[in-house]
Amino acid sequence: MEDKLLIWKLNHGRRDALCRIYDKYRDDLVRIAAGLLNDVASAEDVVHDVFLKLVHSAGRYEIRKSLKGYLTAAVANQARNLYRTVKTPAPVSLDEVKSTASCCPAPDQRVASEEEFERLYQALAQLPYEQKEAVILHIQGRMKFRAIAELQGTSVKTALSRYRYGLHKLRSILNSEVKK
Amino acid sequence: MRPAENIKRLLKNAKIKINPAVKHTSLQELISELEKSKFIPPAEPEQNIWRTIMKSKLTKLTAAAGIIIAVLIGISRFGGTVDLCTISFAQISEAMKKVSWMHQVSKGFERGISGKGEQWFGFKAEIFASKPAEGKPVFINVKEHKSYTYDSQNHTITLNHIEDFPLNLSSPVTMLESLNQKLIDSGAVITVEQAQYNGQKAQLQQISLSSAGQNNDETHLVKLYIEPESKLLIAAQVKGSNAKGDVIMDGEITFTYPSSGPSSIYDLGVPRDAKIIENPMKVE
Repeated sequence: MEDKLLIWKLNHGRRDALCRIYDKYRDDLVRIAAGLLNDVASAEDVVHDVFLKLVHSAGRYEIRKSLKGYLTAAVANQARNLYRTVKTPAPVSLDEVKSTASCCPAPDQRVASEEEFERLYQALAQLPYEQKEAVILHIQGRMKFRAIAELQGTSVKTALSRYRYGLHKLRSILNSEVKK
Repeated sequence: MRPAENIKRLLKNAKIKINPAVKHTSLQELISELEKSKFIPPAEPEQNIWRTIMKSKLTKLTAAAGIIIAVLIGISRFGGTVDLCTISFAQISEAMKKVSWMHQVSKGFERGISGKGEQWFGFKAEIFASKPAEGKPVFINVKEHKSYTYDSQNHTITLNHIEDFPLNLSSPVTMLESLNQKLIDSGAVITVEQAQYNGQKAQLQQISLSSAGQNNDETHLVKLYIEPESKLLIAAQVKGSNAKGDVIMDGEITFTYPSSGPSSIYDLGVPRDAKIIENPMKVE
């Protein structure tokens, strides 16, 4: 309900609505884009572009479903376009990824956790793009497989398979690293 | 093996370190863009059903055809007011089912604003195309969820991915039924008589609505001309006047039913060398 009101206000040029939408969704969207592109700086650019388009379209957009889903899909589309253009993303730096719980555990546990995150993001970078997209959009973006399928222009079954293969491959990569 | 749940948990908990300076700068730029942008506030809900007819915007004209034909549905629901000897809605509906394309040309003015344009509805192809006399041509392929808009100033075609279309184009009848039927409650008076349209015999159905407009001080009259043999709507005329008797709206829409219609935006006269720009944002 709040999102509908925010969109209505944004459509009428209200900057407070823009600030609220930005504050509410920006960080999560950057995280999703960073996972897709393996690069935080590119992710910030992608999310900025998506918000810029939202601003330029103010007054014309009518969002009937969820605003979050709408923005996530826009970020995914934009990230995919960028990925196709560049295709050589730099790996996400350890300094840029952290656990939400990293401030709480003991120092030795924190180091283990941060290393885990780095390995996870490096493993993600090795996945085929469509599989990585399905995994990130479902887990981090909380998108339904139907929505992912629409976004990828494929069937729900294929989107689900990509997600499962992606998770399986992630497990294999991480396990093989542990064995080394 | 590392359980999948662990990976899911890791991904859910992963956060990106946010650079507050980048975030702040980005937001300031967005605010500045918002203030610079020229705003077109969305249309407020229509106060009366005829107002939409003469506006030249895509959504207005799309609705216009629907509203005109929705009147036909309205006629069927008024039951006894329609002479049984005349062409019934059921007959019109049956005729409309056979239509694959509808083409309409509209012109007129409302409150000093004049508009002119033509639109095509492809019911089997699920295509909508609009070519306003002034403004941007639009081509929508509902099946492919794609909308193309040509901007002659920038010489570009913007491709949008659409989730939805306001009208159900699977058939003329379902299109009518997909519309919000406002006429039923409006207290319209309907008369049916034989008449001529452009020298051609037609059944004229007149729908008059008083107490219209924002202040309930306007009167509107819609004339629908139906071709007796094909039983299809061939024209609609709309006239509105205020309490003083001044004409505030006057327009005419003519309908034809060609066997084919535009298959791309280029069929609307858009130059083929126009650059196509894809808008990654899905418009729902």
